[in-house]
Amino acid sequence: MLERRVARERTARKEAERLLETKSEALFQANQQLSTLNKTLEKKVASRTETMSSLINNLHAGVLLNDEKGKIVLVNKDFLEIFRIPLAPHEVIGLDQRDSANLVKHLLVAPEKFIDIIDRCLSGNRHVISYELAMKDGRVIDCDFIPVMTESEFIGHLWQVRDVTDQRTIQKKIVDSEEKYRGIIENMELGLLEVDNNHIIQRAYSWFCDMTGYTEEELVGQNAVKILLPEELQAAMDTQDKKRIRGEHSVYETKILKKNGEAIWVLISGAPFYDTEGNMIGSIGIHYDITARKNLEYDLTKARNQAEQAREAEKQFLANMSHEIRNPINAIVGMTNLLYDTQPSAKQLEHLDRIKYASDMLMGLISGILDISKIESGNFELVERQIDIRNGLEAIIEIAGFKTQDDDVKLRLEWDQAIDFDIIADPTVLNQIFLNLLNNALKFTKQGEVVVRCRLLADTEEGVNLLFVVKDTGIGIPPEKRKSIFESFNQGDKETKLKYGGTGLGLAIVKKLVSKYGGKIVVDSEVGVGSTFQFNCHFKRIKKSSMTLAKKTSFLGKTCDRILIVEDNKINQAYLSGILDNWHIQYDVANHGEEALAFIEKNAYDLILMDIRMPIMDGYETTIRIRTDHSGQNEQVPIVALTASALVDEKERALAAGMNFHLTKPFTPDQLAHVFKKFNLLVEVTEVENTSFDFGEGLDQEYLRDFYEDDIDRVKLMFTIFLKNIDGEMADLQSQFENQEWGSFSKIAHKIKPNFAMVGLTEISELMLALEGVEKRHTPLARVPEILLKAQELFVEGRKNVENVLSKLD
Amino acid sequence: MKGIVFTEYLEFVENQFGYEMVDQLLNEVSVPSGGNYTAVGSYDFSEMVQLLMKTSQLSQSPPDKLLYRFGLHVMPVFRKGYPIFFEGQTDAFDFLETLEDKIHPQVLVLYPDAELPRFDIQRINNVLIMDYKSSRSMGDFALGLIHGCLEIFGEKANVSQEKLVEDGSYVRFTITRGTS
Repeated sequence: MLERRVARERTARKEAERLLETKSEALFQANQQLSTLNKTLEKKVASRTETMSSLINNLHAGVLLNDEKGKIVLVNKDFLEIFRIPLAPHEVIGLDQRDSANLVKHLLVAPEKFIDIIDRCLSGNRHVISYELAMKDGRVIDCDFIPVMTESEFIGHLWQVRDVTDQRTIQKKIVDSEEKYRGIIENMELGLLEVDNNHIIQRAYSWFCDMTGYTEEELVGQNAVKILLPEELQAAMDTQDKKRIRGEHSVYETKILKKNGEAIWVLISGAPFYDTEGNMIGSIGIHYDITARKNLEYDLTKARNQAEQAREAEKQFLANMSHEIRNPINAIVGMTNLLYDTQPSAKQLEHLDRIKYASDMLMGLISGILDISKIESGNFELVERQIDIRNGLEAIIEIAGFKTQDDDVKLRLEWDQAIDFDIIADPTVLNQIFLNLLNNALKFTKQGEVVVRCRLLADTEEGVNLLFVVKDTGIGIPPEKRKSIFESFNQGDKETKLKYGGTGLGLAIVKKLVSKYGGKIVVDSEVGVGSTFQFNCHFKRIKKSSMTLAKKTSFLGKTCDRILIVEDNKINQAYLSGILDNWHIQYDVANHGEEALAFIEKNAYDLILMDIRMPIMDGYETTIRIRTDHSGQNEQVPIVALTASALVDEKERALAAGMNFHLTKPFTPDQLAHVFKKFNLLVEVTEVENTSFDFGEGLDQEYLRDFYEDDIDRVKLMFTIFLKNIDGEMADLQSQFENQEWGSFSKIAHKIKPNFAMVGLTEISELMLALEGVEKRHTPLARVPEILLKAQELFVEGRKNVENVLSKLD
Repeated sequence: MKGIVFTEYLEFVENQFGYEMVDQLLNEVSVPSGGNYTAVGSYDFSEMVQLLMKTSQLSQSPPDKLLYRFGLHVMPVFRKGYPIFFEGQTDAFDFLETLEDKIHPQVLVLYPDAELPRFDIQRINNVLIMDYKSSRSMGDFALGLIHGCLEIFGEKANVSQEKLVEDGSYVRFTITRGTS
């Protein structure tokens, strides 16, 4: 049994050994496999470590890893450089984190605080992100301190440090700059408001808050349109919105409401703004408080309206007054002229001159005012027709020339040959423009010349642009007055007004009339050298018509229905009335040209008897106006000039102005009848009973008989008026002679000349003609005393003869 | 089945009945391994059943009794051979509670091919309920082990055994600690 037991034990042992052998073999195999696996893993780890460390070295950030005990296990070069640690990474590994912190302490601005933070981090496993470390050398280091965990186990800390000095510097600059501009904006009295695309306020700057009385908190989140704009203006925001969406900025004025409900006016400059992708995210409005300006504007507008209303009322008043004044003035002017013919004394004559001057002036003023108010009120309508501008200008120059007494001033026209067409214009307007300018030029020019230039500036399909120049060699206009002379009642200066007279309306009227033709008038002048007025006008052009102005009309024994007497002298009026009554011819009497023109408009005449020297408008001008009034029914009417002088040049001027014939005052009824016949007008002369009145000795019997046709009443009237005035007139003549005032002397001689003729003192009348010629040197000055003496001698005798005639008639 | 169970079983038989019984047992059974068991080997479970049945026949003891006594015998052997499982343990209940969660997983680490029973363990104050599940129906062996365990920690407790399934593959042990 023992043997069996031992055998069993041996068998069991061998079995066990065999099993162990097998297991050991299996173990060896397993070991081999493990070893291979290990090598592979080691390779992988090495390559991964390499990747990691190169990654860490290239992080551009300092990295340090310490284990849970504070020992440094990994560090990169950047970390050491940032902290200026003069060691290689491998020299640092294994050191204690706290020790290395001590190494860098001296670099820090606040080292104690840094050490404290490191201690707290190392002991507390807490993480710190973006802790900014200020270095003594000015650098700023951004530190992250992160505990490293594997699942639940803490295995160390990771430090990541970055030098952010540049970023901080830039950030600081940006902040400083932002601060600067915000400061500027805040101090600029400009209220800034940012809104999103739905008008929701995103930001309100402090000035805007001050402006509106809201706090920023009250505004942000509110709808700007609803909270700030008065209801009636809210709809208008749409326009601005649309502009903003199109990316347009704009400036506009609006009313906004303050918190207390008060409205203020603001000027808003609004512009869209965009996010980084270029999407419009809202707009910014800069608000400027213009309430004060608006109020001022309102006040000014109100004041201006009031002033305009006042001015309007004043103008209306002036126009009405002018109209009302015109009639009495006409009477004064007429009566004054009448008085001239009443042999006033020298003193009276002087007073008459003053009255005449003043009333002419007043008349001119009133006409001017009426013209201006007519133009300004828009009641002024252009009456246009075809005009031969050259003929028109020549005629106007002629009229102006007649008016000047000064032969030292030459008047001439410089014509642009390119203007070979007619224009469509209002002749009255052109006459007024040129007469005003020419009269002005002549008034202020004592020597030299007045030139009228006309030039074609532009010739297009729409019309022509003509330049007109009126240049004189007069006294000139001081620079500071050049603008104001075109304003109403503004002349050069007070002295000018005193010295030269005038109403101060002429140029104002010219300016307004020029503007009617789309033109502008300017003046260039040098004091003492002369003035140049230039203006342009736009006209429609038209081909020259073959019809000429001086169209001959033949009359075949036409019955004379109605004639017009244009005469300011009441004696002459009475004389003519008498004759025409005898002839049973109807007539109208006009006291001057302007009245004549009024009659002309109303009636058709067969003949016009035209005095030359009249107030308001003289015979020359009246004639030209009649002749250029193409619409009128009297354009071709015969006009007979009645002149007090028989001077040839006066006759020529009359014919040049468009008159057809000339009759020297005084004239006999026969002479007049002859004129009528000349124009084929039938005159029924009623033969007056011939009483064969004897005018006695010393008087021109033949002349008197012809003149009075034995109309005793008329003889009586004329002789009485003669005796009443003649002594004074002769005394005046004498006193002007003694004073050697040749101008006045001539005028008196001219005036009394026909008076002598009318009473048959023909010889004295001829002597007066000679004396009249003194002023214009037709008669040598040396001969004057002799002639005057002769006249006076003849007068003593002649006077007696006239008295005799009267006494015979009584 | 692990070789150690066979070597320990023969040890147990020799202790109880002397080597003559072991010699007779090995001479009379016919097992594939020839009965030359070694602790490092592994043998079929049927060999254990044959050995147990032959022992019962030779010794006139019922197999469940034999299994219970084998459990009692083996517990101190385990303690000696695997002190690591007993380290720091002072309480039988605490130790038994760790059986399924700690001891069996570690046994499986040492012997990956070991076939272990399953225990569902529940503890309510002084009562520990251990539900045994095994196709080998060795509940009596388990009972022996439980008693052996109580002995090791010097504790006394009443252990009741209840077959939840007739074939003994599912057995509930209720261990109630004595109040004395």
